[in-house]
This record gives sequence, C-alpha cells and structure tokens, in this order.
Amino acid sequence: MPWLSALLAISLVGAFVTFLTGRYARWAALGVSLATLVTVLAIMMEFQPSVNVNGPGYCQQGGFQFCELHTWFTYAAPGGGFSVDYLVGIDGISLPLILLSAIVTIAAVVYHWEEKKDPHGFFGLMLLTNAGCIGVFVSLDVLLFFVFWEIVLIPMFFLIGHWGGPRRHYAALKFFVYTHVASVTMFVALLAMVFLGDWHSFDFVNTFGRQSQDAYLNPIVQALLFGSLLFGFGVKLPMVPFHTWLPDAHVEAPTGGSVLLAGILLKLGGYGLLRLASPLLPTGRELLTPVMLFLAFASIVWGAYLSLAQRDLKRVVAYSSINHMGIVLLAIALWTQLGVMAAVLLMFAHGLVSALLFMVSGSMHHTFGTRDIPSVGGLTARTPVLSTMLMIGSLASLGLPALVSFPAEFSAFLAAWNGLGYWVLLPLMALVVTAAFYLWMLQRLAFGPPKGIPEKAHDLSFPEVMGMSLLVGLIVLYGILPFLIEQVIPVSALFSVACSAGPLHNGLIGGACTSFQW
Amino acid sequence: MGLWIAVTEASASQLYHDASFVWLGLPDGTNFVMGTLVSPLGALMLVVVNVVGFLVVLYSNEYMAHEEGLPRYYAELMLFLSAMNGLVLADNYLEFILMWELVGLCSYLLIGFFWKKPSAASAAKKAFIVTRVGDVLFFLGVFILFSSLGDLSSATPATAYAGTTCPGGVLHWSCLGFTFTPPNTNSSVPFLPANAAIEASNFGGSSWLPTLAGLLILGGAAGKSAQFPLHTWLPDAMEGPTTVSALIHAATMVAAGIYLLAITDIYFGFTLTAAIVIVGIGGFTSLFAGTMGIVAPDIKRVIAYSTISQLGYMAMAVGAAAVISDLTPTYSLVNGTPVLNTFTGVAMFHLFSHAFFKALLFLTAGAVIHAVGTQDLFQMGGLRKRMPITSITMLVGALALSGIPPFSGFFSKDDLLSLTWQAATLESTQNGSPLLYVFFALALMAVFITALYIFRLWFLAFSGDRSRGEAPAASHGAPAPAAPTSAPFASSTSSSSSSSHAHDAPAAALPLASSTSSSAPSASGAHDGGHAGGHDPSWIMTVPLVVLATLAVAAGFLPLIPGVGHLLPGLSWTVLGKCVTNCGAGSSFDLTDALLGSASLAFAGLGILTAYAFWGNGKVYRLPKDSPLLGVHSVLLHKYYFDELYDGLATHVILGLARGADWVDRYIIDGTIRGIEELFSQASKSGRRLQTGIVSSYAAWVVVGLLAFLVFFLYVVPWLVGGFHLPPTPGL
Repeated sequence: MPWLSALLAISLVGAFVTFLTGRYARWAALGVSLATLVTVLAIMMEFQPSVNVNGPGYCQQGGFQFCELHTWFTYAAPGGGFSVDYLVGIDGISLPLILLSAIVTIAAVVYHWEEKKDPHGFFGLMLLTNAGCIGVFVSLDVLLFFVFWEIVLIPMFFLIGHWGGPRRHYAALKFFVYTHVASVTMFVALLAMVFLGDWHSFDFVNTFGRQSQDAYLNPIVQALLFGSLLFGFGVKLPMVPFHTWLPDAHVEAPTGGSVLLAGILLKLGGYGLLRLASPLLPTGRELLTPVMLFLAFASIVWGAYLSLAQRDLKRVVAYSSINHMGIVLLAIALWTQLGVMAAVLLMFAHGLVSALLFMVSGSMHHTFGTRDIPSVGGLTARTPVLSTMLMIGSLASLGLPALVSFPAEFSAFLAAWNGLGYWVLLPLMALVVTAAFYLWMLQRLAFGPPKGIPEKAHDLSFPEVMGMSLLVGLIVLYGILPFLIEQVIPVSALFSVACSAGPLHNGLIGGACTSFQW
Repeated sequence: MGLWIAVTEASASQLYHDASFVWLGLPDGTNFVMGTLVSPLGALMLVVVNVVGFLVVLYSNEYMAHEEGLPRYYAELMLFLSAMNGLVLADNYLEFILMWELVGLCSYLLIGFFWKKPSAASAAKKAFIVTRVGDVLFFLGVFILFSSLGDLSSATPATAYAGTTCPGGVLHWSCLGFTFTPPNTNSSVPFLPANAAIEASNFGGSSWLPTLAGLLILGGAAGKSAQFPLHTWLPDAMEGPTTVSALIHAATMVAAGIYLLAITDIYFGFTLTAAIVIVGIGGFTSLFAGTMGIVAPDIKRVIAYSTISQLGYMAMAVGAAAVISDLTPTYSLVNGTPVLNTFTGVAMFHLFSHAFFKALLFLTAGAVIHAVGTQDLFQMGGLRKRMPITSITMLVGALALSGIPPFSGFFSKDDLLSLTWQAATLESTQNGSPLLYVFFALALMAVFITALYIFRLWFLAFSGDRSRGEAPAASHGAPAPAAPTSAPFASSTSSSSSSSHAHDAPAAALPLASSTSSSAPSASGAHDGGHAGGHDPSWIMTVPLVVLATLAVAAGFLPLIPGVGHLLPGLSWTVLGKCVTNCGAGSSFDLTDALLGSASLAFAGLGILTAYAFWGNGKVYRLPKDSPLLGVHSVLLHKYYFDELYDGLATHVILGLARGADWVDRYIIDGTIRGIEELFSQASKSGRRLQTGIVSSYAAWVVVGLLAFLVFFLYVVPWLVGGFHLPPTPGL
C-alpha cells in the first residue's frame, strides 16, 4: 500500500477540490483535513520505531520506511548524467512533524469555521499549505523537496495578502521576497551539492554514510554550501538576524495563516537543517558549528528580550517563536542524539503551543478590536474561556511541566549542557525572561479589574473553543505522556547523527552506517 | 485517605520502590523514568502535607464560604496537594522537578486567587519569576549531577554505588545515582543514607564541580524556600487567601526546598564548601527575616517573615548536618555494608513541628482577620476576651514558635542549634575556621528576635482592652480604599516616601507602630475577612485550630513514638528529650547541650519579656521623634530595600535593555533589510535606463554576461573545489 502517495494525494487533491466547493468549502476542508489526519494516524500505527537498516529495500538502508521510488526522468550525459526520482519515505524525524501538520491544519480549519471572506479560497489555500508541508516532510529527493518547498510559499503569500490585516500587502511581499531569496540560495546550494558531490541522482538517502568518506567535497566547499543552506533554512526558522519578516507577517496574517506559519512553516527550516544540511555536509557543519551556536544563542536571547518589549500580543508570540526556534537551532547545532531528539520534540511542542497562542491572539483581536496589551485588561472577568486558553498557552510556552514543551526543553538543555557546559546558562537565563514576559503579559491582560473591554464583547464561539481545545488536549496529553510521540524519534536521531559524524571529532567515518544495526 | 497509606507504609520502616516506567527513552539506554518511592523523609512529609492539607480544607469551608470562584479554589488546592504528594514520592530528580514546578504553578494560581486585585496579580507573578530564577539554577545543578553521575560505568562509582546491577544493564538513571533510591532498596533493608556520590572522582577529578552542583541545588531550594536573596516573593505571597498562606507559604510548599536539600544531602551529599554556604545562608536568613518581622504592620506579613526565618533555621540544620558528615563521617553497618550516617533528620524535625505551629498561626490569624475585617495589627487589640479560643490557640503557636518547652518548637529548634554548634566546633577544631560560630551566633540572636516579633503580634492583637477590632470592615471584593489607617495614632511626622508599590497614601511612618505606606496590602488586606464585631468562629474553623494546637504541642514528642525514629535520621533528642527518654548510646546528659538549651530558652524568654514591655498593654508603641532608631526602622519597614532593588533592576535595567533591543531590531536590523530593498528598487529604476531598445547594446551586455559566467565556472569554481573532480555540468 503506497501510504505516503495516498497521503499526498489526499491532501493535494483535497486542497484543489476545496477551491471548487463554494459555500460548502468548510465541510470539504474538514473532510480533507480529517482524512489526512486519519491517514497519518494509520501510518503511525504501521510505523516501526526501530528499523533494521540492513533490511531489504534500497531506502531502508537510510533508515526510512514506507519508501516509494519511481523514476521521474533521467538525463544521460557523458561521464554520468543523473536521474530525478519521485522518492518518498519517512523516519522518526519526519513522522512527528507530519502528525503536527495534520493536527494544526484541522485545528485551524475548525477554528475558522465561520470564515466569511471567500471561504473556499481560504480553506483551499490552508490545505494547500498543509499538503506542501507534508510533501516537504516526506520527500527524499532534492528536487521533489524543493518543489514542495516552493508550493508552501505561494498559498501563504495569498493568505497574508488577501485575508490579512491593514498592512497585508507590504507584509505579504516582505514574506515572499525574504523567504524566496532564501529558497533560491538554498536551491543553488543544493544543486551545487548534488553536482559537485557527483551524486548522479537527486535522492539523498543514497548519500547517507557516503559523505564522510575522504573523496567527498572538500572542506571549504562544504562550509560554503553549508553556510548557504544555513541561510536558506535559517530565514525560515527564523534565526537572528534574518527574522524581521516574521513579526510583520504574523501581525498582518489572518489567524489561520499565523497558525500555519508558526505551527508548521517554521518547522520546515529546522527540518531542512536536520535532514539536508547537517547530515549531508558533515564537515561543513562541523566547521560552522560555532556560527550556528552563536546564532542560536543570539536568537534565544534576542527573542526573549524582544518579547518583553512588545505591546502587540501577536508580536509577543512571534518573538517567543524566535526564542523557541533558537533553542531548536541550538539543539541541532549540538548534533548529538539527544540534541536531535530534543529538536524534533521541541518543534512538535512549539507547533502545538504557538498555534494555540496565535488562535488566542486572533480571538482577542476579534473580540476586543485590538491586540494592544496595555489597553485591555481583566479578561478573566468578561471572557473567562479566552483568558483560560491564554493562560494555558502561556504556561505551556514558558515550559511548565506536564505540558508538552517541558520534556522537549528539558532534553534540549540537557543536551546543551552535555555538549557545551556552562554556556547553557545563557539560554537557561533566557528561560527566566521567557517566564517573565508571559507572566507580565498575563498579569496585564488576564488579571486585574476589567479595562478597555467593549460592552458587547463576547467570549469565544463554539468553533473557536473546539479548535483550541483540540490543541490544549494534545498539549496536555503529550506533556504527561511524552513517550507517545517521542518513542519514534531516537533511533532515527541516532542514525542521522552516527551516519554523519564528520571526520573532525568522531571516529565513526566511512562505512559506519552500512554496518549500523539495532 | 492517602495519609493513612503514608503512615502505614512509613511505619513499616522500609523503602518502597514501585516499578517505574520510562517517560522518555533513548536507544542508548539513557532513560528518564517516572516511579514512586516512599522514603522515610518522604513519609514524614506525606504526614505533614496531608494532615495540614486536610485541616486547611476543613477550615476553608467556612473561611472561604463567601468568596467567588470556589470550585477554582478547591481544584487548585487539590492540584497543589497532589503535586506535593507527587513531589515527596518522586524517585528521581526529573520527576521531582516536574512536581516541583507544578507546586509552583499552584502557588502562582492561588496567590493570584483574587485576580481582580492588581496587587495579587503582581504578587503571583513575582512569586513565579523569583522562584523561576532558583529553578534555573536547580536545573543546572541537576544537569551537572546527571552528566557526571549518569554517565558512570559500573566500575567507577564510590562505595555506595559499587556493585549495583541495573535492570537491563544499561545506563539507567535509577542505577547511577540519579534517583533517590539507594541501590539496595530491593533487599528491604532499612533506610540507607549514602554520601559517596559527590566524591571528586565521580566528577572527573574536579572537586569544585560537586561543590558547584550543591550550590546550584541550594539556589533552587533558596527560591522555593524563600532564602536570602530570593526571599522577596514570600511576604507578597500573603496576597492569597489566608488558608493558602497557611498551607502553601508556611507549612508545605516552602518546605519543599528544605526537603530538596535534605534528600540531596542523603543521596548525594554536599561538599564542605557547599555545606558551609548553606549554613551561612540559612543562619543569616533566620536573623535577617526576623528583623523585618518586628516592624511589619500586617499580621500575615509578620508570620510570613517568621516563615522565612524558620526556613533559614532548617536550611542551616541541613548544612550543619552536611558539615558533620563531611568532617567526621560515621558509618553504621547495614547488612554488612557500611553506610554513612546522616543528620538531616534534625532539619526535618523542625520542618515537621514548624508545619503545625505555622499552619496554626496562620489559621488563627485568619480567624482574627475573618472576625475584625482587617489585617492591620494596629487596628486590632483586646480580642482576647471576645475570641478566647483563637487567642489561646494562637498563644500556643507563638510559644511553640518562640521555642518554649514543652511546645514542639523548643525541641526541634534546640536540637537544630545543638547540631549547628557541633558543626561549628568540628569546623573550628579541624580547620581552624570560626566562621560557623558566627552563623551560630546569628541564629541564636534570631531566637530572641523570633520571640519578640511573634509576641508583639500577639499582644497587639489580643491584649489590652481596646476595641479597635471594630475597624470599618472593608467590603468584599473591592480593594478597600487606602484609608489613612494610621490617622487615629498619627503623631510622628517623618513621612517616609511611598515605596515602589505606588501606595501613596500620605501615611506618616510611625516608628514601630503605624501602618505605613510600605505594605500595600495592609490597606486592602481585609479582602478575605469580614464579620465585624469579632468573635470566635464556628466549629468548622475552630476544630482545625484546636487540632493544630494539640499537634503543635505533640509534634515535639514525635521521636518518642516507638518505631518512628528512622523517619528522622541522625536526630538525637537533646536536653530535655534525653532526660526523658535516655535513648541510646551517646545521648547521655551533656553539659554543652544543657547550656545551649538554656541559652536559647533565655533568649526566647528575653524576647517575650521585651515584647511585653513594649506592647504588653496591647497599645501601639511609638518611637520618640528624635530617636536614632528611626532610620533603622525605616530600613526594616522597607524590607532592606530589596524590593526596590529588584524592581529597579527589572523595570530599568532589564526592561530598558529590552526596549533598546527592540529599537535595534526595528531600525537597525529591519532597517538594513529595508535599506537593501530600497537599494534594489533604486537599482531597478536605473536599470530601466539600460532598456534602451538598441539591439547592439543588448548584445554587448550579453557578451559581458557570458564572459562573466565563463570566468566563474572555468576559473573560480575549480579554484574553490581545489583540484577535485569537476563533474560534467550539463549545458556547458
């Protein structure tokens, strides 16, 4: 059963069908996103947490499952030529993110149940974004990866540009140009990697384990390519100093757009670093590790401090995303098993939590006509449900135990301590600032006497509550029982790390991967 | 009831370690597990948590009856109790941290229970953030322990961990010192304190790394247990309902920090340096907090300061126990294995007795507030006749706190001072350092201060015949206006400027007397009280008071109960206790102990007498206008200006930095991006001029472009690739 093709077909075809359904768009969207989720769950059931990488099948040697390989086209040339394949497969790194996409999309669809402005377009574009993201997560071929990567950009551009706030055109353009410059850089670097590395095909499974051999790209080239990829993926992540598109995009994006943007799109950057840049260019990664660490620290501290200074709730959450994705970057830069696991877990956690917080911001804007924190207060008195959701989201985001971020952040900081020692104090201290800005925000918004609340302010509508409750339930579930999602990650994390340990500091070179066994 | 299970299990004098499950697992065998462990200390804590918890819930039935949001209140209270139970049952640091943070969350929610009051919302935030600072240090300490001890192979661990076989033979937390379980729990032996984990050999030969780990864990404990310099949140936490103050900010949650120190000492141990720092912080805090209690005008805040002070005692005792373990380790043979003796039971004994009398003090204070509708001591007086039960039960609490026999505080405090003295003697004879004597002296002075402030409170509230209890009861819910409560007594003029809490009632700072501007809640404090007139509450509130008063007496005799001795490892019941019980070797009547006991008794008595001299008639005492003590008073009233310091740090430094960073972000970073954008749009405008329409000029550009391409691919790229094979690029 070609599970992944089925998944892609459902989400892609479903998105296009939704465009045509007119006023039944929301039902179509719900159906498509439900079908996507069910397929993902079915895949999870079938998924083997630990796989024998010496098993049959070409792709299993890369540690992937559910592989499908069809040659798309080949190009014969003197001295080699190459083939472009439709090659998909998943492992423990991509599976949680696929699940995340499906969950966040369905929550966003439910949340926007009463969308009035061109619902068929709105829902269709959201589903298309989701399909593109899933495509990125399942692709094992560089060209296929890039095709899906670009598919993601376009619907988001329209979501911001058509359904966004007052400065939506500026924000949409900024988002598009910014991320597109990044994509082009990334694409050129990927092509260079393929051609200079003499791959003769675009699939990167086959390359796992080979890149540590001596005859692979020379260190300077690797560093240059890795630097370009770091820029390309880092913009998406986003990392300081390439982050300024994010607050603008979030502020102007419609709620659903923000939810998808923070919930899934940011993860593409982290996923790219985990899947493409780090394992395929091990020497480049090692050479640039200090740069990555520096940028990670900068993002963590900068994001936390800037959140403290914001007045707009969406900007607070946007900067806190920069902070959290900085921790992801830190965990990736460590490139240890625990680090990779923490990065995936943290992306999963952040996807759920930031989606919830952006929904809350959207509802706040909808209810009070403003997201300006100082001008509203005492929400608990008038809109208790909204206030509760805000509180749960904030507490989850600041890493409270029994909520989903805690195991992720704990693993990340433990990995950072193991790898870096006392430097971990810097991001740990940023945790205090994170707590401070969330609690300060809560104090001003949720508590105190009611202030600035319009007379006819109403609490959350039923669809809004349902959309948020889905996320809250999962935030709590995965917070209390994190192994439900975590157990699929470690084997793949270890495999990625062990197969791509560069020659500089790890003895595992050459054939380490092919003799890898569980 | 959970309590019953706890008692049964504890009395069986064994460790129970349930099978744990893997919470997060890595395929290299590093597992983060969750399990339950009933250790003797944990069992003791279970008793405290559940007894006090039950009584507080009972009491709440009347006390909180007329408040809004009761379901929320009880839900949060129950969540708190379960988190606290989880904390003491945790069998590893990760689980402990999880529960620890949940306890912190409940504290946050309950302090902010009256969320409409800005001061309550602010206090809740403050509590969370200040303890978070400690938590971060704690995390780092745990990381050090984990990465140093968690990566041990089975060969390296010191004695206590030698020969451990781990389930599955992998790096399992529960095997490698990352659990509270001594390795041989399966063999049903009595409690086994082990102290060998912190040997330098386990930390790659570094002797300062275990010290650092200990200090970082102390940081976490200091946050939770409100030790200097992270103490500032606790007085503000009195914004919560009084029941919450009794349960969380006196009896149980703040004790979690002490519990953390105690178990860390038992399972890992502290190095000597870390231990001395703990003694120092504890001893200093006990005096430091006590002095602020002397001038506080708010009845709950006085008790809050006393909590900080008593927690300082407990921390000091853990430190002293660790000093003794480090300097003269003694071992007992258990099943043929030598096991280090520990003395942390002394601290736990004080924790145990303190929990009851402190809950008692808070609940009686609650009864008073409930009756008179204010928290301002200077508006109370003469309540003894109208509230006899309350006044007597509170007297019991005050006597226990001051350390007067036969009330429990005497035994535990005396024991703790004696232990500190021992540690100080050891340190000075072995290392020639009199430092610990200094801390001991601070703690002894704190005995005097303790008696002074608590009896000031009692006399002001209950003594005399004034009927100031008829103060205008503030209405519920709405913050009472900042009434110039000091008006009837105003005489002094040294109007100290209002504090950072923006409480700008023009109250004259009446030395040692008036309610002043520094404590915002004293004006709005009547929030959870309200029956004007002042009489004893009904049985729902009285029963807990009487039960707690009984326990405040009885808790001191806990070590007499056969079979519970193992709950308090290292406790030798000094002075009176020894005379009564004559238990075991080495506990014969000892002159030093007797002298110490007498000294602390004398100090306490002196404190009570001083309090009587000043406030015995229930009247407000005022310093003369020209008294040199005015300055001191002002400093105390402003809590040594720590709030101002931290507020200033937060608002000016940190927030200022944040605003500055925001400016940089908007105008420098994003500005650069916009600049580039501008550059391109200008360039495209000038580029438009190249579109001349003249074919030959186009052709020229094509040639230039091609040349550039060729140069790049034929020279630059090969140079970059450095002699490596250049693949046949399609199209070229």
